[in-house]
Amino acid sequence: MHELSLVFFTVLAQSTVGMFLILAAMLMVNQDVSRQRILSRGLGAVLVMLGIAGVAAMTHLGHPLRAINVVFGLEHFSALSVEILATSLFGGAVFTFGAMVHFGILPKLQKLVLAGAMALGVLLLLAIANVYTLATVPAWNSGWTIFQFVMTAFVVGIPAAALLLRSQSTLLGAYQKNADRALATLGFLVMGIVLVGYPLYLFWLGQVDLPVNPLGLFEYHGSLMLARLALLFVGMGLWVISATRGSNTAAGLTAISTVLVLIAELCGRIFFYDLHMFASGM
Amino acid sequence: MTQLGFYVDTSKCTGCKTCQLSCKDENDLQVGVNWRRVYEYGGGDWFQNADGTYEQNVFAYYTSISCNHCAQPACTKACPTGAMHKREQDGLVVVDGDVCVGCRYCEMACPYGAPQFDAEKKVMTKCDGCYDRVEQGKMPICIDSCPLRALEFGPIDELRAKYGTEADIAPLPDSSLTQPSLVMKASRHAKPSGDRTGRIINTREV
Amino acid sequence: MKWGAAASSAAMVGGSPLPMKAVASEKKAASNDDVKSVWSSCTVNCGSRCALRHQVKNGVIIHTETDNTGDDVYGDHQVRACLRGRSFRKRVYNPDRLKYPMKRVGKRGEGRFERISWEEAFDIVADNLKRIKKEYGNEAIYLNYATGTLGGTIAKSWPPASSPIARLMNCWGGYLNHYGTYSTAQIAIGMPYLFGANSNNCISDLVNTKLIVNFGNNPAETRMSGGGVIYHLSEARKRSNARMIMFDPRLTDTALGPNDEWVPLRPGTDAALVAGMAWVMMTENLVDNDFLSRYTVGYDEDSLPESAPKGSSWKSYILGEGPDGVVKTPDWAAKITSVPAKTIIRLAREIAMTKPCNVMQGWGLQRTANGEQACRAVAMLAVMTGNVGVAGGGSGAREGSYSMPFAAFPTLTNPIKTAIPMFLWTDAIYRHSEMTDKTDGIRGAERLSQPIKFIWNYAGNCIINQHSDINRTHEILQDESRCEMIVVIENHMTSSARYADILLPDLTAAEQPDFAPNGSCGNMGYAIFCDTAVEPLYECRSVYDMCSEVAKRLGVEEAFTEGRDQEAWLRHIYAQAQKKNAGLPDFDTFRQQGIVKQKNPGEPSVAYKAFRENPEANPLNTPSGKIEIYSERLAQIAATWTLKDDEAIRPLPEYVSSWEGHESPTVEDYPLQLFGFHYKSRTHSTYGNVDVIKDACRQEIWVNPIDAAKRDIKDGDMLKVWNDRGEIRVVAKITERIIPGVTAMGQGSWYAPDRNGVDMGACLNTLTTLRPSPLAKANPQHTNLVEIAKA
Repeated sequence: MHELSLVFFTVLAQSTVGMFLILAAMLMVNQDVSRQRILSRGLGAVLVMLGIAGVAAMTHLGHPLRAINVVFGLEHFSALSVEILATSLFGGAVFTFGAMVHFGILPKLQKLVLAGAMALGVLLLLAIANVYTLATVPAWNSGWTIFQFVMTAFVVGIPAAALLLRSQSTLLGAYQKNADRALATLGFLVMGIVLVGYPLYLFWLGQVDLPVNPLGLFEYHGSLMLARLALLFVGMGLWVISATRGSNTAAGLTAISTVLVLIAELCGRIFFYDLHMFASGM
Repeated sequence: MTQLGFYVDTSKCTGCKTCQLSCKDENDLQVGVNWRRVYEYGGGDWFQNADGTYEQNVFAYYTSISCNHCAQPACTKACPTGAMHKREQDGLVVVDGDVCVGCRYCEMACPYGAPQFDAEKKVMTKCDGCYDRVEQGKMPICIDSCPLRALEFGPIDELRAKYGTEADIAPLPDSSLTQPSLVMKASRHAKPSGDRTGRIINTREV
Repeated sequence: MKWGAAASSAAMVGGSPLPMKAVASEKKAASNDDVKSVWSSCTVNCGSRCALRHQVKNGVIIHTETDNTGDDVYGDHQVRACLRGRSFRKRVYNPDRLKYPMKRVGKRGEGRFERISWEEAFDIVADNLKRIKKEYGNEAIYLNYATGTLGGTIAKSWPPASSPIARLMNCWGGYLNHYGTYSTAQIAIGMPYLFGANSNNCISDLVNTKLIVNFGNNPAETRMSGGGVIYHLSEARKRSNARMIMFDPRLTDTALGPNDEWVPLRPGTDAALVAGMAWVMMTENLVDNDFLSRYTVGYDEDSLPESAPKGSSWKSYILGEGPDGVVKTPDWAAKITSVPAKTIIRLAREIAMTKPCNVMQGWGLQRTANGEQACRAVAMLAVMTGNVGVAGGGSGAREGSYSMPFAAFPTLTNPIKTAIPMFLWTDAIYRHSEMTDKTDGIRGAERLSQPIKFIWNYAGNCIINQHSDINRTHEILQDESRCEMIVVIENHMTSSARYADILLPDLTAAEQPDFAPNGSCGNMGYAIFCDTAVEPLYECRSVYDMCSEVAKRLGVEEAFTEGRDQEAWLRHIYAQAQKKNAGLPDFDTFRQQGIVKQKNPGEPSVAYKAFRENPEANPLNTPSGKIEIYSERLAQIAATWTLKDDEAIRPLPEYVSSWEGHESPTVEDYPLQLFGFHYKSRTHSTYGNVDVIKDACRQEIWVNPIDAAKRDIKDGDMLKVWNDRGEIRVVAKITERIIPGVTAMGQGSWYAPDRNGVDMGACLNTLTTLRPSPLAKANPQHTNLVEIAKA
């Protein structure tokens, strides 16, 4: 499938935003300057992941060297141009905030920049969803696209953020353990939402007026969805259960969880792109 | 602006695909790039009687579709570069291959499958209404090639005055989505857009 | 920021001017000043003949356009090429193009060749001709049936007797003749027993008809030209608003128009359907008795010839008073044909009561094991309803068309009179001594005196692809001590070319001057000047040139060339044409204007019109001069020929259940009928190697959803299709447009065996039989039983 690079871009970008939002929220309420510095190191990971997402997006272009041309689409609010702009602005804001913290620039403005970056992160999630809510593509043209994209942001973002924190557990001490437990609780809640929301989405999908049943498009979809859900729940479960049982510092297990969940979301996204189909079937 | 558009008579069309191939010849399109596509739409049921004989209500027809140079094109709206644009002078929707980044977003958006990705040049390509021929006073190559004389081209107002406004024949999408510059004549078998009793039969050919 | 980085690298790479324009501009190929337009034609064997205008730039064809003359008013309309003609340049510049003469180094069919010089090639051909002539005589030299360039005048492959090869051989003692064609063998032989000829009204005459009764005639795929039959059918019907009843196992592209009714029936059962309808017409007194009594022989007992036994009239056959004692009721016909009895009754009434009514047939139903019977049966509908010989009516044969007077390349006379049925050339290679007039339809002699030792195959694919039972044919050709030399003259490495001993690269129609007169175009005759669009590619030479070189080596150069080259011959032939047709412009004007059209000066032709008007003064070319429903000649043949138990030649056009039909015991192993159809992607096998057409019109097997469900086959699945003769691989097209129990696929796809002999190219003839039909001794390529399964 030629959308494979988009599968990576969207999942990585969304996961990055999710991870960032959690880190940012912690930074927002944090008052300790040294902890601030430790936490903001995690932003490096955010930028790296966003960078990988960006590279993935570029490989989708037939002519990556002409990428600058996408600014022209802003003139007519091309959803894709807006998405690309949002990605750049978000990355820029994260970078700015990180640099400000690192070099101690204008400490009083830092939170304002951080808030701006958070807003841009949310805007990016919506901008990506906006790209795919095409009036001509019924299986995409609904709030369920936003639901799925936000879901990816959090199911990957939460364990990824926890992983970052665990990697700094010796420096952060008890703060990290508490945060890990809090994140595990949040992860548990998100799983609950997924457990309710995703079946509802599939039910809705089954009702969409399409020339072919979107749930019976390809034979591999059955195993793909099964793998996706299994990976998601095993991945999340490993970390959430161990965290609630008091194991809050081992990075290895969380890394496995994050990878499993990431793969789960990539599977889910492949399914999503496979649903591209016009009401006409043309 | 005079909006140019196509007329397709599905009652005459025999699905010969001369339009598609003459277009490919004129524009030197390789396998996999089809600026004009002929969709075979059909369906129906078979019933066996007690004596082994059969009855049926099978239907089939062809729709030849290139780009409908829509009044509200989904492709230009989607295009992040403006490479896909609607010409002011005649309303033809044309892609500038020197500006296109090859993101294929127009392909995702157009419900008629008009934008066609050229894997060699790595840009989108599509029916340009043969505007160079039209500027020389000729018809697009497909129009002049049709053995059944089932295709016409011209100012869409004139075509609508002559043939009406039908553009909602399956497998085409609801015309309100993009307001295509297209007029169709229904075959005796024609089903309305959104029909679910038939299907595109030649999926591998379009 | 990554976008910024990308932008700056773009600027450094250069070539992409920055900044880009927000509103794109258009660019298209530079001016057309240096493009010249050259008239030519697509001379392949579809029955249509289309004008092409090659657009040539720097000695290369860059596009191909078509007839653009006049106002395109119906009746004086443009002869527009179909998808194939429009892709002509893909044949000229095809990767399969043969580049230089070659001789075989591997086994026949392996496709291993070695490049040789033209001199060596001509010497080998001439030496072998001399040797074989000395050993076996000229009767061992055979010109295989080949239609690849049948539309030309000098570069003309069909009939082989009209080709330059025939002229060459006729200058040098002749060759073994054949009769019949793979296209029309059964009807061309069968129909004249009924009418003395095999003709129908001109297609343009449909403007006068009220009802078209069509048995499988599918010009939408067989005569697709925008000047030809499908356009006439569409336009003429628009004027007469005639309804069309289409009897066909497939819902073909021809039957999709307004006012059509598709009546699906099983292949090979047309004669039973006709008999069922005849019963309705007779019992409801709907037949045209006046016509029957004045114009026919054998309708009822009173009009039977003296030699005929009692109960052998058509009426006796239908009413169950003949030897079989079976009443041919609609219920009887329904069980055989799968058409419900009530449909048979309804249509019989409509056909009998709507006048005038044109009964026509395609050539598919006769290309079967009992095609000689079936094609005559269809005509019985026209005969019983008195629609023969009237405007708007029709005889039941295939449509006619007008040809404007023109001239041909003179090929002289063949001193040898012996002829074989064209389908039996493989038999003539290995069992000639058994072949007689009574067993194998040998004509011009009682028996075949020599085996075929030398085969000329110019522009044909019947060496393997278009002949039947490819695996058996391959076997016959493997023995090089039997057929000793095969010379193939071709453009491309076709399946047949792979069986050549000497392979000579031919020019396409775009690389030589020629005329293409008269395609099947209703009431409009025309001729096209095919000019040289581009210089010959590679080392290719024209067939005329090749024959001249061989003639030199055989010592008949002067007789063959008469001192002319191809251009000189064209001028010579055109001078002859001008003598026959005063309306032709001078040679140079013709060359410049490309196409000359001449409408039939009279009304569209009506078959047997003179006979209808005055049968006594204008008798038919039958022994009685009348329509012979009961044919004494056929009774005579049936009595004297050697036939197998399951073969039937009947004096009446009655239904005969055929071997490998759906009633034969073979269905236990192979339950599905399979037939081929002329597919829009090819003319037989020509254009079969053009990638863009192969992509646009896929080689797939049509399977009804009911048959697919039984075998758990889904649309797009790769299938194996097999019987005792072979196995192919082909993708399934699940479609309601074919009757259950029957499968079909385009014939002519290129045979491509894998290591195990499984044909990955999905050539129909991997599955067809070499067993001939009883009377014409011809190809029954649509009578096949197979099984299918997921591969």
